[in-house]
Amino acid sequence: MLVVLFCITVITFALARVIPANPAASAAGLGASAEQIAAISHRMGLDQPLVDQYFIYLRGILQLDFGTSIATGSSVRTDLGHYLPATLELIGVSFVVYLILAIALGAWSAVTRSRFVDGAIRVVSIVSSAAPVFWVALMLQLVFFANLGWLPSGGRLDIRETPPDTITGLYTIDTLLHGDGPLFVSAVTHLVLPVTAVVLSMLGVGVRLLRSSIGAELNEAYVRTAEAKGMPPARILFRHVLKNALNPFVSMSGVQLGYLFAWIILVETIMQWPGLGLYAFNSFQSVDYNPIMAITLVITALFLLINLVVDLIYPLLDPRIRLAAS
Amino acid sequence: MASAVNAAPTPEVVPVRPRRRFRPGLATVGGVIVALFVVMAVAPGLFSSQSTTALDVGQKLLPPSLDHLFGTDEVGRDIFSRVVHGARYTLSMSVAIVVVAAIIGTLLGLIAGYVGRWVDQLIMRITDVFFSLPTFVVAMSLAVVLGRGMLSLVFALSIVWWPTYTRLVRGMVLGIRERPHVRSAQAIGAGRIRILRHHIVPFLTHELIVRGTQDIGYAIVAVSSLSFIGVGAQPPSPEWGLVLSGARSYITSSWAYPLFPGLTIIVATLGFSLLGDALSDRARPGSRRRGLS
Repeated sequence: MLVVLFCITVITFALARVIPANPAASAAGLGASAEQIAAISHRMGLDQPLVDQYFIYLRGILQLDFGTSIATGSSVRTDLGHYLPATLELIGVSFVVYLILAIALGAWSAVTRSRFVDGAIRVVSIVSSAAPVFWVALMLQLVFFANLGWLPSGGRLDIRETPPDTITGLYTIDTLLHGDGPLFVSAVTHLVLPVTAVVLSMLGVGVRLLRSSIGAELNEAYVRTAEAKGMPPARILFRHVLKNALNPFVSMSGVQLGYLFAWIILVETIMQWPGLGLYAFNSFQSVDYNPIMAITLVITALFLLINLVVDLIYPLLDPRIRLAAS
Repeated sequence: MASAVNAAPTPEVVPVRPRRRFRPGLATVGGVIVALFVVMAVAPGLFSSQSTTALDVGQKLLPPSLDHLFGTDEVGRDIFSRVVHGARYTLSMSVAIVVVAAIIGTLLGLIAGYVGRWVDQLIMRITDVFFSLPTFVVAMSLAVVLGRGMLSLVFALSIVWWPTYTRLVRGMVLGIRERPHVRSAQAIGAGRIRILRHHIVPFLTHELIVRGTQDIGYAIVAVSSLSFIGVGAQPPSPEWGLVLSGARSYITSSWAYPLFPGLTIIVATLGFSLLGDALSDRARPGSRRRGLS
């Protein structure tokens, strides 16, 4: 994992410093004189050998110093601190909703074995794998904001509302901690559309996987034994079958979370959700290198962390898998 | 292309197909969709005679009508003809990405699988690194740094796409390498290049074509997503993602504007994956076939 993180610093370094023809000139802006460019180049350390530059860059990252953003004028670390909670809230809520829905729908369709449910799930999952998430988000806005007017088009709160004092940075939790009911409702309604867009785009794959793995488990002998000794079906499903069926689903979820980060950028952009994705979008627009590299690094780190967690979850689900074994 | 390989087992197996009765239907649908889009990309004039750039502000944001099948956009351009002409941009980028990725990936996979030892180790460790990256996000930043445009988009997505092909090819090569015909060729003293070209690559082509066809569908989604956030094609190109990005600001005034370009992307993507699935069903040297060979 550290090796991968190290590799990504090399990649981002190469992206930011080596590939652009002259970073100092672009930092100095149009019409800068040769002396100005030379001064900036010196200040950015560009006149030093490449390897030295890389170690300076690496030291900065280890101290969480990602440089300053040209567009916002503040340090990238401050910006990240500002935007990260919104993204974590969106990802967290989406993932919980996704887990609940995927398990519920997967179990339901495996247990009932209804051809109609199967067909519906197949159609939804095929379409959701072909429909770009940004289009799904646009359609949700079109229907629930533009046509029905039920839900806000974007943002974390209405413009007229003041955000709660920061405790965790997650508005849903902060408003609850402050006991501010109306603001909590507002925060939740603002979450509905982005969460729906994200969940819809992941759901098809998850439900299909669970349906087949639960379906396979249901044919096992231990299920028949449990039925024979009179165990209630719900208990069989939740205590025995799910535990066995969840393993492929967990590994799939790790992969899906990787896509999730890409989708977050698109969904946040459309829904004007002030998180990492919107920050990334704005930095793309202004070709602002430092934030772009920092965001890439942060997302990679998060992604690796999630995969580590997934690896740690396996042995909990299946004691036969030992961490040290491999 | 792989006729030399498939010719032997295929003909005798044909009679065993009662279970696949509905399959050819989906394959045909996929094939027709793909063919339609390819014609659209090559000769958009056949589908739409209207200009994609003519501005007519008096006709802006119209709902669909016989004159404008998909309605018009914010400056009165016909959305249908923009979508038709956009096929060229979206499809050519998607195909280019898959082809470049497949070529790089296949070459590295061949080397890794056939040469083995430390070369294999090195190549596979590099692909492992790519697999543990959030590839799409990396591609986005890469495309921005390279300068926003279609060429950097193709480059960026190919760079993150090849490792899947390397894994696929290496796995297949490891299997094929041990087969008697390769062993025999080695025994006669055939050179590495010759063995790879004549005794290994022919066995890969079908699987690669299947994978490539399916991947073009995903590439369409990836390309339009990146163009949507302004990283790929630039205005006034009628690339599909870019058309949709224009629609973003007008969802309260026109339902047709965001709807139809998106549906086009879905249909195109589905077309390629249906075709890919159909090809793979046909290609898979499955259980039924093995009994005969």
